[in-house]
Amino acid sequence: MESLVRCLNVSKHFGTLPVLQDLSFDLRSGEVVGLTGLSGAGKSVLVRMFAGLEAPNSGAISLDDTPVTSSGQVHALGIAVIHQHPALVEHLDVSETIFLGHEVGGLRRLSWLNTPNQRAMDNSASHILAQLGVSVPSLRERVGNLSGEDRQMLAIAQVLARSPRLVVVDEPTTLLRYEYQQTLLELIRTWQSQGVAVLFSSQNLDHLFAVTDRILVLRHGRLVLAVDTDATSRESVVSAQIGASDQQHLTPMIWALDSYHRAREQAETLRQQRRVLEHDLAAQDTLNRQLIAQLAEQVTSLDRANTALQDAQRRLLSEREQERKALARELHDQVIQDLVSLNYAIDELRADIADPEDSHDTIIELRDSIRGLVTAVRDICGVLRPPTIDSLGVGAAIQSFSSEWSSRSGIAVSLEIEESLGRLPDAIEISIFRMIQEGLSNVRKHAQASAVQISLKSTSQRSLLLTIADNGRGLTDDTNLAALAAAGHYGLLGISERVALVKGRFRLHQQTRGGVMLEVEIPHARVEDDEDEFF
Amino acid sequence: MKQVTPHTRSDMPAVEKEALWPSIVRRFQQGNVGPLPVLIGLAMIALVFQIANDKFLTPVNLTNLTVQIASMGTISVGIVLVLLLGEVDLSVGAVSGLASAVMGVLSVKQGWPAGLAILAGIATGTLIGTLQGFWIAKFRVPSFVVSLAGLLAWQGALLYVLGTTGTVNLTDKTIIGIANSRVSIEAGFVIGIIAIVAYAAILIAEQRGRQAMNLPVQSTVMLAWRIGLIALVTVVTIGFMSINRNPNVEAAAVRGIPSAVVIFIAVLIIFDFITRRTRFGRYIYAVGGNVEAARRAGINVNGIRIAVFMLCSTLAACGGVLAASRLYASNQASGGGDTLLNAIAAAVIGGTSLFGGRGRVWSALLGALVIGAIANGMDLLAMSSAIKFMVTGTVLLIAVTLDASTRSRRENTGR
Repeated sequence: MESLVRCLNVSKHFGTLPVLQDLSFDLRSGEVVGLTGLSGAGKSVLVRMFAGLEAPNSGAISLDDTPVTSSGQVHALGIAVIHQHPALVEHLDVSETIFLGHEVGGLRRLSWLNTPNQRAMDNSASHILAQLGVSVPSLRERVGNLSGEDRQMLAIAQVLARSPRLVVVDEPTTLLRYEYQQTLLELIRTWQSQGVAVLFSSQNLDHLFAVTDRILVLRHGRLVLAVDTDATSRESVVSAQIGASDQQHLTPMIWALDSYHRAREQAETLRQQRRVLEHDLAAQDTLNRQLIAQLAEQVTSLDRANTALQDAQRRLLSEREQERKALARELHDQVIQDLVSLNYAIDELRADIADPEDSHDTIIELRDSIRGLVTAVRDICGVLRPPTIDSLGVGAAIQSFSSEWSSRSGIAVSLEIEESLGRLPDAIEISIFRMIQEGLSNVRKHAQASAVQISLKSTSQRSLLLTIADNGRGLTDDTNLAALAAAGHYGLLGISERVALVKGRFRLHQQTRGGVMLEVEIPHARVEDDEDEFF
Repeated sequence: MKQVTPHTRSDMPAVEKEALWPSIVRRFQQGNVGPLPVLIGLAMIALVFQIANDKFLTPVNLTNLTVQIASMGTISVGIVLVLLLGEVDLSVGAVSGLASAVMGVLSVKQGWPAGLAILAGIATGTLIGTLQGFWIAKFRVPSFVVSLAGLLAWQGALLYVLGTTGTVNLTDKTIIGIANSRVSIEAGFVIGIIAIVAYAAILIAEQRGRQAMNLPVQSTVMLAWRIGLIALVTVVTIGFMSINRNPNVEAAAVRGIPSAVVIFIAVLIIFDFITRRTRFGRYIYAVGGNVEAARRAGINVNGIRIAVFMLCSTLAACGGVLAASRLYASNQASGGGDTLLNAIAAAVIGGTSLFGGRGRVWSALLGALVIGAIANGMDLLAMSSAIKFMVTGTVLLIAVTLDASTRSRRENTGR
């Protein structure tokens, strides 16, 4: 096919600085030619020559053998240029901008004095914008109110408003986000299929390899490589760009160039997102900080309340124990002694009575019932405060309680209490005793067991392990403390609360051969006796 | 991303009609206040002078005022065009003087027919403008310098043309009639009503067109206000001018619209149409707004520049002819003194930006009214020129400050 565009021996210098040197190439209709090179290679100057904004010092660019001489004549020739940075008139609106210099309607002859058909322009402007996927507040919006990206898209729309035979694209993607870049590449393919020649200047190898038929590489204003895209590789393009052929130098360079472009695209997207985020965050941040402060405050106050509550409960429990102890002592020291002395008195009375036969039986009865009373009160005392626990320690107390419980309930109890346990702190001894009391009472009420095994041993010098295992029917699968408490069964809950108060751990095991094993681990300060032994 | 769909009206809520007050507030925030400050200033000036001297708001005085400003206003229209380009023309005063001298000398001394003499005067302006525009566009010499050189050169030319006499007293009836005849009351009202109807029709058609294109429209109330206000001003003005201005009741009545005013208004309407409706007008705004953008769009930037300077000098020449006609004479002082400065001040006070790309032809009328009213009012109060100049200077400073601050507000709000 005939060449549409001919660039012949074009040279340009600014002062003594050569910018383009003896540049020659052709472009056919429907051909997409990529133009690449490092910054300063002369790409943009070449593009400005196509736009008629720079004139070559020698040589010429021509379209159908008509040389490009001025910017006024470029559009008539059918050349449209998308520049790297859009230049738009701030005070014109969107519609006016798209059709600037190409207004629709009116007489050709008196073109300056005719009045453009605004409605026709608005119509096609909105179609072009829709085609590009650009949304503006209104076609009457001033260009000065639009973002840089939208302005670049308007510059592209200006090209779509004309019907060019050659489109020169100068790296406009730096201002565009990814979707718009794809739109532009798609547009280039469309032009190609419509027989429009495209000169696509870009440093982005991805873009160049995606759409071009040929690639021209400029270095220091000279054309150093002109190849078919299919017949070349990124490596050779980059090597032409930088003028190196050494593969070792090349690989990091191509990697750097490629990733540089990708990074720049991503950076652009990220920057935009960051701006949005920063804006949102600035608003959110204050709110969040307030919320966090409030939350922290609430947590602290909750902690404080919790500690206070535990203290109160511990105090309550120990006070109750003190009270019980006092009560037992009272009963023992007062009531029982009174009753005993009463008994003696009755005995004396029996001896002194003149007619002993009459009152003898009565007095015997009286004495027996008093003895019964004494036993009963003694039992009460035992339950209120195991008498052995204070004097002999928790081991002895458990022994006496369990043998008594066993005979009362008919369930066999086997005890395994570590000999060397010695004395433990008061609160812990009483807690253990109460747990066993509670545990055994649970067994009797619910387990339907025939035997119970209790073991108490120290696992280390600072902790104790208490297990109570029965051979009963075990727990149902969905047993949990909250449900039990809700149903009015406080036994296990009471145990768990006591465990919590002494800072221990509490576990329930369903045993494989039936029955439940309750396991409690209690930490404690070392007992003083042991310490004595230690030294 | 939402796409622009031109044929569905429902999905663009942004184009809802805006109520009157919020739209005014928004315009203020955007620094887009239009002619409002000038109108307020004008009303204040009128109020102050009326209080100081109850002759100010009389038909005689107001008609005098409009005749006084017709010449300055016509020159100022040309200045508006040049300012829209972001350039300046300092030679307009000298050009207006030279044009009047050329006309006067040709008519009186050479005996040319009136029409030819007038055309020659105006053509002098056109020629000068073309020359200056060419110099500015082709040789890239700043317009300030070229027109400053022109100011001196054409002043010299004026003296040369007038020769030793120094003054040419105009005698030709046609020439004198340009500024000193009157349109009859009936014709005045017919023209006025036609103008109002045309104005309303254009606004309503525009509104319809915008609605059809689903573009933002102003509220019907606002539209009615605009039409009503213009109609009121027109009718009141024509009505005022229809009252007999001759203090001698016995003598023939002096009534009707002065022809100078008709010419000035016609110039305004024509150039308003050119700047707002034609390609040429749009290109003036484009070149003034961003030269690079205009060049890229294929606009013949140099052609626009030359044309604008040509029009500016032509209008200056027209202003000179009007002034000479009104004063029955052309002399060495024609176009001198404060002619140039008042013309530039009028354009700027009326709201045309000194920075290019922003302004309306009508600002020449508003600015000229302000300056004319101050001068006229002070004359009524018999104040000295010294005070007149100082007050006018202050008003100019305020107007430029408004422009600059509007500009910086736009930049701050990204507009």
